[in-house]
Amino acid sequence: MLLDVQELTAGYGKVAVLREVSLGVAAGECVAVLGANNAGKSTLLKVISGLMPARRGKVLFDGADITADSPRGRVARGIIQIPEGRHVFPDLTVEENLLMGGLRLGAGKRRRTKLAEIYETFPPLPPMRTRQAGTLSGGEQQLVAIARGLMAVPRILLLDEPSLGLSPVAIDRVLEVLLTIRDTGTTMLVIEQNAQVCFDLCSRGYVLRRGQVVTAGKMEKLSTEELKRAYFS
Amino acid sequence: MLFVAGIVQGIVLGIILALVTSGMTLIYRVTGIINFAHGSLMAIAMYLAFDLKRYWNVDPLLASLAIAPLMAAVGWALFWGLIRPIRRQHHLLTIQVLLGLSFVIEALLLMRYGADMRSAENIFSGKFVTVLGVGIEVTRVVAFLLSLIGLTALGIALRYSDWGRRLRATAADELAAYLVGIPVLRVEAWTWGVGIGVLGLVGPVLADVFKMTPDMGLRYAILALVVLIIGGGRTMAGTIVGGLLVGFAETLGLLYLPGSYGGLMPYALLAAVLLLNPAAVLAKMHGR
Repeated sequence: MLLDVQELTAGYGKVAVLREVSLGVAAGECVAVLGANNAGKSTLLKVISGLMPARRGKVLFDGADITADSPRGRVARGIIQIPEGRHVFPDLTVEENLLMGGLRLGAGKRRRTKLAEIYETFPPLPPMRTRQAGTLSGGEQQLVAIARGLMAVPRILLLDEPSLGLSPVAIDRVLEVLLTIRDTGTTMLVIEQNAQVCFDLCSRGYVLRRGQVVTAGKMEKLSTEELKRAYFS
Repeated sequence: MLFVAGIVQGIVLGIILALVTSGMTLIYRVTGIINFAHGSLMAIAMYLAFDLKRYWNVDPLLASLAIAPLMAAVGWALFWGLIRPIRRQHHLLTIQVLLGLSFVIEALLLMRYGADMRSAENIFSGKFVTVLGVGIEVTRVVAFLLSLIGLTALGIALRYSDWGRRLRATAADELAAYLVGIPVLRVEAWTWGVGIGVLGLVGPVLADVFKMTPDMGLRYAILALVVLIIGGGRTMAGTIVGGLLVGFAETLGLLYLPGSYGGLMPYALLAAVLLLNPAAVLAKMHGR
């Protein structure tokens, strides 16, 4: 397992949002985490990225215990998250956003080369490079957010609700991009409420309900009944 | 003729105010805190220059080479020791702490230097130069030039360097800053360092320009706040515009209005700006 989450418990104040959650992502896999709104999915990614401490349990990456690592340390290891709601730097230009994403590569040639690569991979980006990211549409911002994440050459890409708030057309485009990323062998962990995106993208899935894993398995084996129970009961 | 004098003096004062405020603006943008101790910290820089002049006859202009990094260290330490532990709590708490710090500094300065007005002369003291037919103290012009250089350097660094981008990114979206690996706490500490260090750069020269009394701190903090609000609190350009407007208000006010009503002008300007465009100003103050 590249990412190994063991019996993770975390929360805010007295409330435990995640309860003894265990999951794993092997190198090259694309794994989904499904669940309703308050199931704790975003909290899970926050803990993996170091934005929130774990109360109990461990997070292991490539064999190393990163439970106490700083957010910066996790980025240095290649754990890159594309957060919910995109969170591009609105006052910065698209190019500056990408440059910030590439901080892990330093400030020199490596980053510039990667930037050129990203511009080639994502043709819609070069014409937008001097535009302030805050002026872009939701779909465009999502593209910038994903490209920004890729600038860091991630060893695992964590995506928090990539389709949230996007029009159906934009969702299709984002899905295309994510499929391409998956097909290059990048390890991915995807949080999604949109089950269809998960089915198209991921091979395995976990279903979270009220902070606990209630079902896990291959995507095609996750029956409609189990999903309905997880979301609606 | 008087009007030209007012304009020239206004520009000189305005740029100086802009530099002083740029530190406060930076701190506000990146860490979200209004530094009410800003003026008092500048007072420390000025009184330090006074001491160096009094005991070792060091010219304040030279002293600023040492005082600027010292003040930067003070700013850094202030962030780590005082601000970081409390800033996640009620935002009024940070304001109270900084106001309290301002009073503590005032009391310490009073104990050490007494209540008399002081000044620290530098190599240009007492000399005058004529600009557009207006006589200005050379010291003021030096402060003006230093401020101009400082503002330009800051502006360029913020716009074109990675350091500046990291600062702007942290100011724009802290969560995303963490997620791209920006060392957010370090960036914030550096911001306080630069924001206060700037005071150490221009403060020693101002020891011969501004009246130095132990209670000057709060007065200048408020004035800087006025410049910040009028300028929008977001961009360097805004800070410069705000500084110039306040500079004009003060100098033209002092020239044309009776008594010391002129000193009220910056605040009257603030009132006018808030009355005429409160939505824009408040929207800028509270983020996007």
